[in-house]
Amino acid sequence: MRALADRASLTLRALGALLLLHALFGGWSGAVDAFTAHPAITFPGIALVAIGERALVRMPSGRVLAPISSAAGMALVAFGAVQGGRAFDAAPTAVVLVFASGQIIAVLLDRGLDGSGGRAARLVSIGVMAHVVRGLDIGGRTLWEWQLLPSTPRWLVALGLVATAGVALALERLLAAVVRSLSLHTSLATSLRDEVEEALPFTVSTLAPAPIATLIAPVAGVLALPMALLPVLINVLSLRRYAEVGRTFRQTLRTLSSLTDKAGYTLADHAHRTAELTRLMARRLDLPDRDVRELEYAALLHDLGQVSLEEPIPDGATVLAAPADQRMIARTGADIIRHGSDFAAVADLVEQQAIQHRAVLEHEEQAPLSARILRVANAFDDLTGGRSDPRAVAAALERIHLGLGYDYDPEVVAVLEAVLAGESQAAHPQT
Amino acid sequence: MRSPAGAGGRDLWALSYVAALCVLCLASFSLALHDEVLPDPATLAVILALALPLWWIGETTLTTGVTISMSSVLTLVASAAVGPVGGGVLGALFGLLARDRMPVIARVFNAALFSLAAQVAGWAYRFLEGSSLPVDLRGVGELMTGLALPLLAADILQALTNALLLSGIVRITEGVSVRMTLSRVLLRSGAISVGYGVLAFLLLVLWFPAGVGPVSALLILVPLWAAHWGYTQYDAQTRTQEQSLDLLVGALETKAPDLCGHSARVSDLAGRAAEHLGLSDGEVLDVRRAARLHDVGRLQHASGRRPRHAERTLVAAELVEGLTFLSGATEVLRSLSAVPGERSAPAQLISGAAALDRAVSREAGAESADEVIAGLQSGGLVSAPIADALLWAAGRSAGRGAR
Repeated sequence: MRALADRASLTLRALGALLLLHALFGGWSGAVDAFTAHPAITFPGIALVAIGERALVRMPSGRVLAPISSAAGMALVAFGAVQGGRAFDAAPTAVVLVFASGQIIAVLLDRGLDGSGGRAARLVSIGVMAHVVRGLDIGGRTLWEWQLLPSTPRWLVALGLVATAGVALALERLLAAVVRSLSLHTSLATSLRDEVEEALPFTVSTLAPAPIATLIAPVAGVLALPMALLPVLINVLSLRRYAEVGRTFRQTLRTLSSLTDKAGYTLADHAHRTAELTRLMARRLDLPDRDVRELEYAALLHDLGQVSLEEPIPDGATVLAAPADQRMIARTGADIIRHGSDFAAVADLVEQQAIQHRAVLEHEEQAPLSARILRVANAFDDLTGGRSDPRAVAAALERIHLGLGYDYDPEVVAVLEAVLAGESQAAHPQT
Repeated sequence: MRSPAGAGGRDLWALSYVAALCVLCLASFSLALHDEVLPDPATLAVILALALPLWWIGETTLTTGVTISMSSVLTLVASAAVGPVGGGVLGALFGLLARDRMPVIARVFNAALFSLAAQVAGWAYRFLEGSSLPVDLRGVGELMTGLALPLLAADILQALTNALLLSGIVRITEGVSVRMTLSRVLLRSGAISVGYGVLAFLLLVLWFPAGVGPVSALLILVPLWAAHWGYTQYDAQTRTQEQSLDLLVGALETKAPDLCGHSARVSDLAGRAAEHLGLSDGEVLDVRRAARLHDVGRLQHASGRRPRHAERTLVAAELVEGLTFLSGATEVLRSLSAVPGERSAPAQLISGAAALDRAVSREAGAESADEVIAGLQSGGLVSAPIADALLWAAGRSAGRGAR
């Protein structure tokens, strides 16, 4: 699967490279004309794209956005009449080259390529938009030419540009979602849904700069381009604050989870390993981002209830405790977690992870998939003690298999084995 | 405990203040009508229609006390495009029809406040010869002198008026000095106010010189809505992060039931005392957080041995020292572990509040707050200003309890 993800990312980057080569060889003279005739637009445009490519926003899910770059690119595509100057009548390939120049500068400053293919996705979407707006003939004129006509109502130009930018942005996010779904082993539908949930408001706000820049350029001149990006800049600032507090929150939970380690109840990093394992298993089972996050938090906090014990369990391995004790510890932990009203769902998972699988089948107790994942992941790490050598792993799996169907959900155990096999293959690739 | 006469006197002053604002508002309207500074009806109608979705979305008050208000952008636009009367009417409507539940007097105050601030903006814009309905502006120079600069001045004056009038009512009702409230409000919302001005400028340019008309609002309000969404997510995440500290306290109270509620009470008491002492917002927050966490060092010891105070607070500091948002609180915790004579003011506040709470919890009525504080002061555990602040905060808490 990882190879498939790498191939998808490579394919995307190859597509971007092809587009660039096509623009270079097919539109070089047009590009030279654009640079020489419109330096006040092309050079600031390159600078804004370069800045945007470096002012990336990393969301809590790991998704990377570049709203300023996307917005600057779309504005360059749509830019038409300019107060006090000639209309920006560049060919589509010239616009692609201007955008790509900004990206290349960013790559040189970063001293490396972005592995996720995000830059390539943006280049491809800008390329498509440029060819649609400036190259596609509609009723004898291109969309770009229609917007120059004084008889075309300005509000119609605004709506048309918003729609075109929307298509370009949708393509960019779709390409990013494809690569992400392959690398995380989720379905494309899940990946797209996560994109919408996490990034939609900011994605939508990136639609505005292109029409704003195009419509105010006839009155404000070349300053229209940076002015139009100001709303996006405000969004980037708010987005960064949100992303930063998300990272700090994770940091806080990790500190909380290390409480039982430092107090001598659990082995060092047990909670972190369990959280990582649950994350991988949840992705395999195609859980959406929100559920994966909740499960990760529950995994980090699942042993909090052990602070109530007078005598710690050896190595904090709750898997070795009696089922009734497991449930008591889980319930205590859940009660502690419920001190934070926003943690109610996490508390429920912590409590439910102590439910044996047979109780779900025979007594119809409620244990959602996330809780069953946590139960298996916790048991595995308790049994291996954090060791990853084949003997320890085999012994742990054997022990878990003995409780298959009774203690543990067989489907979830199968996913655990698949994750372990995948990790093993990644560590020791077959030649 | 507050005397009924004192509280009643404050209410009377507050009522008078609100009434005076309303009179000022109406006087400004009269002046505009007298000078025939009348809004263009069609433009005013469109702006009022645009106000509807903004009213529905409402405002967002962040945990830091900053209010993100998209209606402020539209009010500024109205002040420029349809003059002080138009801006004043819109401001009054936003104030009267706010979606939050509040007493009538608060609603009237908000209406007067927003209306006056908008009218001041409108007058400033006119005074600086800002172009109303600036359809014919062309080029950077004309846009700057005819729109951008007058609008910037109007924006700044709107923010200042809002902050000043707000400081007045806070002085009357809460006793906080005008200067302190003014600086807090301006520090918190100054940058955002400039952002409003930029967005209002873009909206006006799109609407009038560029000829896009009311559809311009869609182009500006969508990014604004996205920023609003981002801030609400940020705020929600920040609240959840604060709640994670409750988990630490919850774990402590599970292990040591005798401490149930102690951290919350100490945090409340120390926080009030810190505010009364005039510490900055950041310092008050550090005090509150450190007070909540000052006993979590007891979690470290599984053996049941009760660690000494200094050891406990040092362990607490070590437990949370990796968390950047708690860096201030961590410093306070470390200071708490120092010898009494070397503790910082925030640390003294917490140790004094903790001692007060323990004395009250041990045996109600055994020692008065005065006696406990006097004991702490004579023992060199708290300085005189800290002692006064703690006594004041204890008195407020007792007053609230008595009601």
